Amino acid sequence: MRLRALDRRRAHARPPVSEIAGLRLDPFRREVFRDGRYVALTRKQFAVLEVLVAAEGGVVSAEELLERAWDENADPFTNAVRITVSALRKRLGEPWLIATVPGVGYRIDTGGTRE
Amino acid sequence: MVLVNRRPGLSARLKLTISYAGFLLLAGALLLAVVWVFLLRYVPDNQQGLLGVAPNQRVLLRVFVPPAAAALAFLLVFGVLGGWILAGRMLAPLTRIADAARMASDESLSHRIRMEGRKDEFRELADVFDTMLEQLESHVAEQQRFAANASHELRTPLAISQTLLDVARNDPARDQRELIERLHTVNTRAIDLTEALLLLSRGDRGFTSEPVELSLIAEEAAETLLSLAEKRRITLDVTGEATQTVGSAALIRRMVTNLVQNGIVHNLPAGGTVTVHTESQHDASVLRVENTGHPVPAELVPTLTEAFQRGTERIRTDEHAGVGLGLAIVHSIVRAHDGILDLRPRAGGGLLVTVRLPGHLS
Repeated sequence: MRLRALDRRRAHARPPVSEIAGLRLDPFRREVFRDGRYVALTRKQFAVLEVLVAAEGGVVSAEELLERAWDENADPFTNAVRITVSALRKRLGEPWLIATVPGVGYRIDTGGTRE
Repeated sequence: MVLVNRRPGLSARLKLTISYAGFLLLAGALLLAVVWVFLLRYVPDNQQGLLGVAPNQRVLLRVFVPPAAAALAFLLVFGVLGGWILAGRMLAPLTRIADAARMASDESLSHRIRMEGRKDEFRELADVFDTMLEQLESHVAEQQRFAANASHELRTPLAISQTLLDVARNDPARDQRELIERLHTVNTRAIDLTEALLLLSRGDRGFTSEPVELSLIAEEAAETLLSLAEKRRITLDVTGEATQTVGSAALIRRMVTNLVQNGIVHNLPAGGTVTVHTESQHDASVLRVENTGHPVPAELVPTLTEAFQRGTERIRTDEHAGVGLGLAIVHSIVRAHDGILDLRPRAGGGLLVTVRLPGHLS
């Protein structure tokens, strides 16, 4: 019964819950848990994290983050990405989960907290 | 206006006059009767009279009654006249109070009786009446301000919807889903806001309290307003720790957004800063919004939270100029949350706004 219900839910094309480096991100309910602890995020912080999680540890450039988490009217010289990433990093807590790759972009540090 | 239809009756002045005169007459008659009874006891009722010299009862009666009647008549006139004048003087304050009440019910609540003289029942009534008028006046003024607040706040999402629709009409190739999504967001906010205002209007305490995290709301406000800040070349910073409080998330979001927007708009032409800081202190949750800007005269600060009051530098004409309701709304939201709002000018210009809200009861 339960499995069937899960199946049906899956059939409704719900975006899948992703897990990486102790992080659980549920795009449908817009919830994030780190090591089982709920983390409240703003809309932009969530959008940025979603992009970073989707890259599965790969580097995402600031331009790409701006393009995907903000609308196309965003000023290309804005500090929005830098500010949001640093706020997001703080919200997720230590050990720091988001690494800055100087001159390139940001990525989720999968090596640090993996058990 | 509802006027009670009463049957015509005697005025209080006439009633008082009649009572005065009546009592005076009664007292006079009683006095005469006493004198009469005691006097007659010593007057014999025979031809010779007392010791053969004094008059007998009949003579005495004949001599005494006419002057006594004249005296009573005089007392009546005196009582009526004196009573009329006295009652008039006593009731004069009532007439003034009635005049003031009539003026208040017609239109002008600003009229006051301000009765001079020493304290007595009438002066006390007049003072109570003045106090009541004062409260009524401020209450009515507050209601008017509230209506102005509400319509201003509600116009904004409607204007945004209008713009979105205009853009969509001019560019039919645009993604409809995105438009719908945005309209939905704007509409939801408008509904939230309307509900918040409605709740606020019901005695300021009608909203449901929920745990609210101030730093998250501060970051959200900064996200929303970052593009405005960057357009004006202003650095917007959010610092501080997670700070729990309780209240209406929608109202607190509105409060923080208004404060940050104020900080951005009333700032230096370029190179200014706005810093939002949150922290827990003892049992209070503190939000501080500090902005650089032109010097704010200290005497202007108390008026900033009044509706439609704008500082001297606020004559910009772009869409973020506002109409001077931002801080008034902040003030009423802080009050509704049993908080304290403190505004003070910064030494180098600009403003430091501190909001203290009750801490989260865990």
